[in-house]
Amino acid sequence: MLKEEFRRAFFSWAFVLALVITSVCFAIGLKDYGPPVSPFIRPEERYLYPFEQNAFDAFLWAMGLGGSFVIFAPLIAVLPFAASFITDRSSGYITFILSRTSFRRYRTSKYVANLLAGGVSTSLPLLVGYGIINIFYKRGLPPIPVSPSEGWVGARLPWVNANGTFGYLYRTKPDLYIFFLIGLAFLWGAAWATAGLATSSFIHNKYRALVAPFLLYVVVDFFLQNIGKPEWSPLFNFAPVLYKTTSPVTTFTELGALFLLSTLGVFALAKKKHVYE
Amino acid sequence: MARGSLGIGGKFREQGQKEAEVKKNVMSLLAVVLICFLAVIITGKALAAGTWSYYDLTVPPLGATMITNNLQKAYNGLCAVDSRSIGADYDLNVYLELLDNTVVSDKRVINDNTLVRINNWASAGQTVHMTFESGWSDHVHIEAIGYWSPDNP
Repeated sequence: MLKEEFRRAFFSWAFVLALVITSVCFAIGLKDYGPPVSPFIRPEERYLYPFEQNAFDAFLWAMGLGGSFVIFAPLIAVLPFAASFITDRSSGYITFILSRTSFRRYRTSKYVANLLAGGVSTSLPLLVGYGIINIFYKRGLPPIPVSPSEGWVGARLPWVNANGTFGYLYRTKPDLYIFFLIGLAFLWGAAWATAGLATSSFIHNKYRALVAPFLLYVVVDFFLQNIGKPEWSPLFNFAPVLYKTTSPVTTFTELGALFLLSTLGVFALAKKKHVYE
Repeated sequence: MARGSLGIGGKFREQGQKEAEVKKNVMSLLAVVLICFLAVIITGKALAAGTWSYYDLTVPPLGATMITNNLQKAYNGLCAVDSRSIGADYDLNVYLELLDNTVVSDKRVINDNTLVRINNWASAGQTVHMTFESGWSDHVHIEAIGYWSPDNP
């Protein structure tokens, strides 16, 4: 059963579409960052600023600072498989499958497959993108100014530490920091895909079920930013590098709560009666 | 004899004192001239490098931009932003533009108390302004206060 659900989640056009959207958003962010050699430095001065354009900043820009990916992240996470309760019912697949296995096994398999598909769709293109960036961009960071009056020269991100959760790793262990962000994107995608699955067990329209988590994300983000608590916004939860006062507490508390509530939602709301009817 | 020798000695002493006084005056004059010369060089260099211009602006949300006043670039080379404060712990992107809004530098991310010097393609004599841009994900208006220069003070 689990194998079958994996096959349906990962070998589908929706999953490919999610990967394509993530990759396109990442590419747009990278375009905004610019090529490996800055076109704005005069050729005779380029040797002075060897790491103005570097692999680490390029990734952070493409993933978060460059824009569009963080906005569409919840849509990308739910796209592959979160509405499958609805599609299974409308296609009659559920009648076929429940004649072969129990509803409990069906629901658990779907839960696991959806969770992994959501996580992979938000993180795999980042991992591949980081690999590609490392081929073309220099791996190094510009130096910290000796005195504050000297200022940062040739540094796109004038940071000793990056913003927010585990930002102190940015300068000392930049690869580890980026792998943390990719790992967080996986967990975040998994949690939001689970929220989407929970939603699809009580909303019976496929499109509404897919859009509902995105709307929740936008409304909560808007509300929290406007009441002056942006560090708790789900958007800065996905990319803590975008806001200074995010911390492991804000990141993991909110993500953990969403994941637990969504899991509870899937197992409490997705009763055979609800899904089948 | 003794009186005569004393007289000659007194004359020499007097002449020596006068010479020492003239020497002292000349040295003082030279010192003043040197100080003035150095002051002119230092001030000239500072003026040539550019001066800071104050900004206090509010950047609208969702990737919108706001520009500073226009200034003429005195020299080719770096421009600078000395950001003193940015509202509510947000970051802003900052970059240099020509009068017709052609972008002539890479974007820099700035926060509170960040001094950045930015490579750019603008040439001496061109009129430029600094553009501040909020993130796509920022839903609030963000105030930015600080100084900027089209050159590199």
